[in-house]
Amino acid sequence: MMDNKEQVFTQMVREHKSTIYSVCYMFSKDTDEIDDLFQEILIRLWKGYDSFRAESDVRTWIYRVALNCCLNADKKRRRGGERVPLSVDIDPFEDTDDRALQTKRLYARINQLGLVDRGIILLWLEGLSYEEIGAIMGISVKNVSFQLHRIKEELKKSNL
Amino acid sequence: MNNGEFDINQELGQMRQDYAALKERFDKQQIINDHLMQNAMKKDVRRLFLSKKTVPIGIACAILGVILSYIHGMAWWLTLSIIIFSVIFFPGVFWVYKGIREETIFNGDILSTTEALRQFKKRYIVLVAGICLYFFVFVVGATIFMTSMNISAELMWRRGILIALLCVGTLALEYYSAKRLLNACDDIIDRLKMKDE
Repeated sequence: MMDNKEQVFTQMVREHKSTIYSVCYMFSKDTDEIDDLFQEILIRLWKGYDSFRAESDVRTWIYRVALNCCLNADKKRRRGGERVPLSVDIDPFEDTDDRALQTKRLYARINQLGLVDRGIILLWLEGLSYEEIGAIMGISVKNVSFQLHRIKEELKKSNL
Repeated sequence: MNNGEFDINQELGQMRQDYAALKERFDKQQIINDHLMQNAMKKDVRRLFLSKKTVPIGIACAILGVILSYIHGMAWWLTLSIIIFSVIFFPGVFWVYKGIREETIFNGDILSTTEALRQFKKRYIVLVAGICLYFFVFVVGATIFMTSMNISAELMWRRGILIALLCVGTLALEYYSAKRLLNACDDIIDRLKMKDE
């Protein structure tokens, strides 16, 4: 039986599951890696939940934890321990229908970028403001603008 | 607007559409099951709260070493070695883990988290180097002290070289395992600081 805190946390995670899953997908090479990352992020969110509640925007916090896990998590530790399979019917790496091809096209574009650039472009695709992206990445708004311009140039070059 | 600019805007627009479609797809999925949530809530992250306790534990060990030496007549060099170890190891651990809280470190922004992780790993290697040096000096010193009357110089050299090799090997392993993480951290920091500097 879950207590109130656990219920609120579970509800919050369910509301943002697609965001977390999308981030995991863009930083993974297979579904096992998505499972590992997703679970690592859930653990980190739960452990940091008490300290978060004093802060403001839940989406910004989830992005911080998720990107930190994807960029900095210790791979050896992530692979250890019990892995609980996620309840996902689709396999973004194996499916071949039209929508899966659309997903793969996006994955291919984002994966040609470096890890940091991948994080920044994901935040931009999510529709976050420059201020929010700066707060998540720890850089100034001016720098966000510079980074996005550079990433766009890289995407442009790679498609020429 | 030139052709290149037009293309990249179209490309980015397409990416935004694809991303929205991807999220919509994932939104329709259950993804999270009860077992997964329970697993996440019960699982402990590695504790790094040693830092708060290491200094008192170190002082306690040093005092205990002196007391044991006094009561049981422990050799002075053994007492000294316990005190030196306490002085190196426990404040060292405090220094390594200072400012790091495993539970909340990933709550911070990407740049500060990466800088904290890099600092932690560098300090950790320095601590390991200190401990290796300590063991080298301790083992060689203890050997000299215990057998100084009848040991041959050749045997001493062999032991010294063996211990030195073990220390260098340990350090090399630590450095090799940390190198990837340090390089990754440097890449992230360099990338993010590109404009601010």
